[in-house]
Amino acid sequence: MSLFHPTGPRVGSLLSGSIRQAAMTVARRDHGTPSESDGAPASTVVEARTSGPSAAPSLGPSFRSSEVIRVEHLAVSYRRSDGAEVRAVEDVSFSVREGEFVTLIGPSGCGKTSLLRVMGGLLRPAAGQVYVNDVLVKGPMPDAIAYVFQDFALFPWRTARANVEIALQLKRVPRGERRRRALDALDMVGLAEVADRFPRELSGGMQQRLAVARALVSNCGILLLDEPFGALDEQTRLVLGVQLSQLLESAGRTIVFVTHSLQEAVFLSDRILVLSHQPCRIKKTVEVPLPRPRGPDQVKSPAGQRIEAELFQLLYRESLV
Amino acid sequence: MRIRPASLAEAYVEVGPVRRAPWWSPAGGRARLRGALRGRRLRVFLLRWATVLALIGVYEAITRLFFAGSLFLPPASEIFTRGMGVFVEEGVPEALQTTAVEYGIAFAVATLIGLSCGAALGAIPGARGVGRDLLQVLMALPQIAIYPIIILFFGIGPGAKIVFGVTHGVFPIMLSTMSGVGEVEETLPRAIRAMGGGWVAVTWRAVLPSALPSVLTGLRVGAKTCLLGVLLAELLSSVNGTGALVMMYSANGRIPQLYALTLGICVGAFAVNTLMTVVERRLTRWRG
Repeated sequence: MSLFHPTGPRVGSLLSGSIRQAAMTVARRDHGTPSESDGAPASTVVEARTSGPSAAPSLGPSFRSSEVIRVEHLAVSYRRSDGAEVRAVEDVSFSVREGEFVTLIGPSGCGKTSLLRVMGGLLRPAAGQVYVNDVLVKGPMPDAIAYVFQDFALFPWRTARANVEIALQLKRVPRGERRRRALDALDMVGLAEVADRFPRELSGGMQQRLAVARALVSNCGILLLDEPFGALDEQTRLVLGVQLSQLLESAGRTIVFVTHSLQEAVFLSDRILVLSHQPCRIKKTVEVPLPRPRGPDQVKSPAGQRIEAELFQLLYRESLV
Repeated sequence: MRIRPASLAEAYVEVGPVRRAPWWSPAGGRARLRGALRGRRLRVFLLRWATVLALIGVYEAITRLFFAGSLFLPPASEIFTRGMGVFVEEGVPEALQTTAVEYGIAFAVATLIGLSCGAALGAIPGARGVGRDLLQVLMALPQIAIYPIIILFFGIGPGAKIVFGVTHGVFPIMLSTMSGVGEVEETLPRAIRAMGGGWVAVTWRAVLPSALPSVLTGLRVGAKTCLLGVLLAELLSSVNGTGALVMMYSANGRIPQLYALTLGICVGAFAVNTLMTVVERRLTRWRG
């Protein structure tokens, strides 16, 4: 069983799914994989999403409890090879609500990846702190956060299934359960039939889906995606973007996504944080009040086009500086 | 229910390479045999052995035509008929065994030292550059020059032979282990850490498997140079072992036997190399 549109033969019909279809898909998946029990029922998250993030005002005290990620006055620096210290990120604060899809967008090399790595506990900040579920992030939190890396970080000597299993292996999940859950996750991204292939034998798009499956298998509430489509061609990006949004909408996860593609940002996000060039600061927060589920139709709609144009203006001016 | 392929390239990959039955299963074995008899591999096999036979024939012809009666260049037929008897002569099997045991010990020690020191050097970023320069200089030196010093310390018994084998074998192993461990991509350890693994998991699941191909190549080269070291020591000074025997046959003018023994050494070295190649290919099959 696949989460993606079961009958849709091509991209076109894949995009035309209605809200009800999305909800049905969720319900069916819940039957198929009882192990996928997140805190909140996924379908309610879908409903919350479709009512639009515009309905929820930002950062009021009453929303404190639903904030799963809180970034406070974060600064990141690194030492260049000539010994000079460079500020990559400077005084960044924001928070992410449960089930929200937030995109970080900015000029290349602006420190987006550093920011994400600090949130994932992979990099120590120079100042400020990150809280995940009200716990200060001091290191990787594999039970709360799953990561999809820019270059997929697949293990070439492991088959697709073993590549997914490693996430569970490191949590000492017993072999039988590991195997079952890995196959479920592969099934979810449509890779069940190539479970025994090595990454080298998979196309770029399949490798990317494999990386997503590995992030999904551990049932983390938070996904951090670092330019997951960066290495792919335009068509594959488009198709995967559609698939990813459907998958994630129904999985009800909180997502922070790094990209430099404007279209992708508008298409996927509830909220877009536009970052400035080094040192990276939040230049502007752009809400995306487009209804879900989305397809290129929404992105091409006047509202979508307006948002994309606004992002372009912000980033274009930024790149000129 | 599954998604349709997103692109032509993906469709190709999904149809992709056909899984074959393993070679050890009856069906797989039959399929391999059928394929081998029919396909390119048989041609390669035949061509290879035909070349070997042809070269032996050329050698036979040259020795018979131009060096007939020569003491030092016996024809191939004579090596096979008279020379092969050497392997059942008194003392010869024992000598071969002595060499094999000493070689085994030397290679084991070289592997142990090479792997541990190489891994340590590779893991320390600062040590890598220094280590590489030093090892490359050491590898370029003609080690034969230090053999008299080794004899001073270890005498002409098995000790010197083993030590000389170790000094020949250890550097290729150390060098390739060092570069294998040092050149692990940063992404895989990072992924392990993100999934909650500590340094043990990083070493065991990311660094060592990444380094394995390079390490195995080093072991293959090291196996060859280690044997070279042991044989050199035997040829130079030893009183027992295959090398000493070779020297003795040479001095005594038992030429066909000398050739047969030399051929035997070559076959042994070839066997070791083949074994290492097979192990290497088995363990790194994921590279395709």
